[in-house]
Amino acid sequence: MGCGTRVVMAGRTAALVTALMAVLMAAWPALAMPANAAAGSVLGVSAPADPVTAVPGQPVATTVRLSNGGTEPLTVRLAVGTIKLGDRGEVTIDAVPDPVWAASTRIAEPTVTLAAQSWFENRVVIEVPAGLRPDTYFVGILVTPQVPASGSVTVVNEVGTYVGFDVPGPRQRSVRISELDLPGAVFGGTVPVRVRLVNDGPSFATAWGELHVSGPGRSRQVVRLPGRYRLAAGSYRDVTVSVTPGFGAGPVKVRATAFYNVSDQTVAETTATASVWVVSRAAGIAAAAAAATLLGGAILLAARRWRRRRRAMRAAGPIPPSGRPHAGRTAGN
Amino acid sequence: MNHRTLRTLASAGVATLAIAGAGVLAAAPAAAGTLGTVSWAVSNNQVGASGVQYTFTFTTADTGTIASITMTVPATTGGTPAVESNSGIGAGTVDLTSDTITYTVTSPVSVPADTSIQLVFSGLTNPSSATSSTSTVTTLNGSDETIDASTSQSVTFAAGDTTVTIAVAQSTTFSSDTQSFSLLLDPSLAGTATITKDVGLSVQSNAASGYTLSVRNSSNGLYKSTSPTYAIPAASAGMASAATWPGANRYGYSLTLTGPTAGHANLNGGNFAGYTSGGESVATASGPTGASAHTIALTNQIQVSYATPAGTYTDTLTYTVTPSY
Repeated sequence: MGCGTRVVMAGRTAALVTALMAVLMAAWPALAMPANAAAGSVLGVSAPADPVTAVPGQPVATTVRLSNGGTEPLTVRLAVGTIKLGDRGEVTIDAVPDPVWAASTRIAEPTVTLAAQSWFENRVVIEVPAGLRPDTYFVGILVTPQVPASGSVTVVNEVGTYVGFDVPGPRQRSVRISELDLPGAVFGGTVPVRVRLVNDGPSFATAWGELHVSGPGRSRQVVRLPGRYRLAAGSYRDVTVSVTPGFGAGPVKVRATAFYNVSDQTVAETTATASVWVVSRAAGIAAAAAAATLLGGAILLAARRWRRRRRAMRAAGPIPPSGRPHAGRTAGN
Repeated sequence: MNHRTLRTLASAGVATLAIAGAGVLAAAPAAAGTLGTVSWAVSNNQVGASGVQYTFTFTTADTGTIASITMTVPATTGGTPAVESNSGIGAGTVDLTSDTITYTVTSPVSVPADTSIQLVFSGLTNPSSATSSTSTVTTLNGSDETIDASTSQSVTFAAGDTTVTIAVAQSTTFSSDTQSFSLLLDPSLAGTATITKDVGLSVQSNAASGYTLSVRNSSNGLYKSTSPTYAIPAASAGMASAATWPGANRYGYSLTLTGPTAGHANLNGGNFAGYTSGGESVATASGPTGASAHTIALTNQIQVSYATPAGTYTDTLTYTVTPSY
């Protein structure tokens, strides 16, 4: 049959194409896969977690530790980049030399070759200018593996790190709560709370805080925000916590308070307040049970009334075609 | 005046007296209460040690407007205390005079009973000789009258103790399974006109606020430097316009994340973006990775057509991991 012949022909063509492709692929396997791929690298970079104390006009020394966790030697280059401390604690370090710190930062070994499974501690000295105002400063360093250009596309796994130093002394700090975000209503009792802390002062600041949660009814609790939050000047950080108000249903008032040092000895605070309607799970179940009871009672009452009315109608005899029984009685009066 | 009127007047009088009595009772200063579970902890109990942190924790017994809190310490305690943190009590100022640390609340407000308060002070210098001491914590109102008071457990300052200080560096390890790759593409064969190459990255970091992964490529992109020079256009102008694969003669990447790393929303669902030479943040983590590394697979995709001039193209992809501060 014509149809069957076409199927056979199509099958033969497909088989031919498949065979041709197989020959091609076998002859030129690189077509379907990367022609060349160099093995990767494992680069570790460590720096002191906390800023070191600096004296204006004097150099401050710190270290950056480099490690090669790979199985091949690894050469890395260290260079001072332009650091930007952004929102949410994010740090970006551009490859462009930092106009403030590049000239005054000395890296003992700008290029280091690390043997496999080895490490090296690189000394970094920063010349702190004499007139530098008290604040916390960070110098960004990019650690870039020197990858041999063996392929068309070179892949570089770079690590950005930074060293911080603190110039002691009085400084102007200012932190505020710019947002206190609560849902409009919550069923179930757990309220997600988001607090946005903003550093609107000219100096680096550290903030901590708590939530005062009151209601429903007279319940009250204090929930500490988990941790201390470092904020660069002009940046913000969101803190999200969940609070569980007491049993019941009603408005819950949340007052967020953030604290920060205006000086070492003095703490200042900033607050924001918001409300949310909360129905705790137990209260919701109780309300639903009450509503169901009321509804059931109403249905029973309606059914009883309907039965009573029906009995009355039966007792009054058949409904006249002109209208309802009581209308007939009224007419009879 | 009949008997009933007299009885009504008498009842009113008794009620008035009762209300007045209650008012007098309310106005009279209440007896000082006992603070609940007063705890005093020191970060270093070595005699004479400086830069020590003292932590006081207690619970109020009575509702009152706390204007200041005093905490006694051994007589030779020194240093200039700084407020490290406060909780359950408003902002204030700390001062050490003689043998008492005083925290003065800037704007006193009523603090309900059963409120847990914690004050942490740093910069203290321990007493100069070995001693065992308790601390009496007192909450005071604006008239310096005691609201609540109680005494902590005893803290021992000793000379023979060994102080242990451990500094753990902020460390980040970033590994890549690929340092370079080459691809052979042929626009005449459907199977090889489009090729993908995965680059596996893994990150481990103990930075408290996590890390950011950004990507960038060279300023010319995937570029052929021999005549006629040509750059294969990017899949998109960057992350903001990431979308499904745009078709032939393009070059871009998509992202697959494993671990609690948040990728850029525009790269969800297998969307592709073009690299930019300025660099863009593609993934962030908001906390330390812990012992298990976060893995990130970047799928590089290139599709050529007869619009793509023949030749060798090169590019450098730089993936940068930076711990957050």
